[in-house]
Amino acid sequence: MKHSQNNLDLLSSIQKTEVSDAVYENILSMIESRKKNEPSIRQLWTYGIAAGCALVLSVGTILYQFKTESNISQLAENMNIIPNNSLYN
Amino acid sequence: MHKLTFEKIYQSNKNLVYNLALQYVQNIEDAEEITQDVFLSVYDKLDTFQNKSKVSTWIYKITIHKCLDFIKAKKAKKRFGFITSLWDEKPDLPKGELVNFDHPGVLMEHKESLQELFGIINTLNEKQKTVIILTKIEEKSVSETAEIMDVSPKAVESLLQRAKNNIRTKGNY
Repeated sequence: MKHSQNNLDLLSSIQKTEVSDAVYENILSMIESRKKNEPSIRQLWTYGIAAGCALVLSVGTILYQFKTESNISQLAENMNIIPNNSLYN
Repeated sequence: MHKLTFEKIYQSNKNLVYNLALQYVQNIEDAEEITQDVFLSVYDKLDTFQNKSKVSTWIYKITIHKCLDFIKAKKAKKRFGFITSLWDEKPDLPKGELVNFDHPGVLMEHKESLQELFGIINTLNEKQKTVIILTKIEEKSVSETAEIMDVSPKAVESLLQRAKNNIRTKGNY
């Protein structure tokens, strides 16, 4: 018990040391490089709006095509003819 | 403004972080890496820091968290290295203790005893190890340790007692 206490007391003999200046230089360069590689807020908005427009256009196109196709099929059915390129072929 | 505040915080806490990291990893290279990591986190979280606690307490918490993460990552890497070494034709990876003991704060005459003691401290669980480091090396009071660790002072006392018992048992003292 006493030996263990003596050993634990050795821990308080550990000296405080100074960190090297190079560490601060590294931190600053890492912050700078992160800033350079980070996309700017303006870029994020531009890409976001472009991606949103593309999504809206593609969904719109799909819906329009679906609607047109179903109109053609309906018309063909009403006229009692088989539409071209349909499942009836 | 942000950069100025950061520099001020760095200058007044750099040695606190570095020395605390040294107590966890016991080598200069790893302690420097942790110090960088801690201050990058401080830089990122500076805007969200609320003055509910002292800056130093906040930095202690970040440092402990980073040290424990670093050790976990290193152990996982070592385990992976061992698995790959089973298929390796030249298994020259170190198989001993993960600690490369290179603590600049240890006096020459105590080096052997402290290396052995740190070997035992490193086998304690995270909380017991943290309590030993904060109370015995950083010489924090029980209430300060409790605040840093977000536990009650009674829990700190109990952790300290268990840590001492474990050190005694594991060290065959």
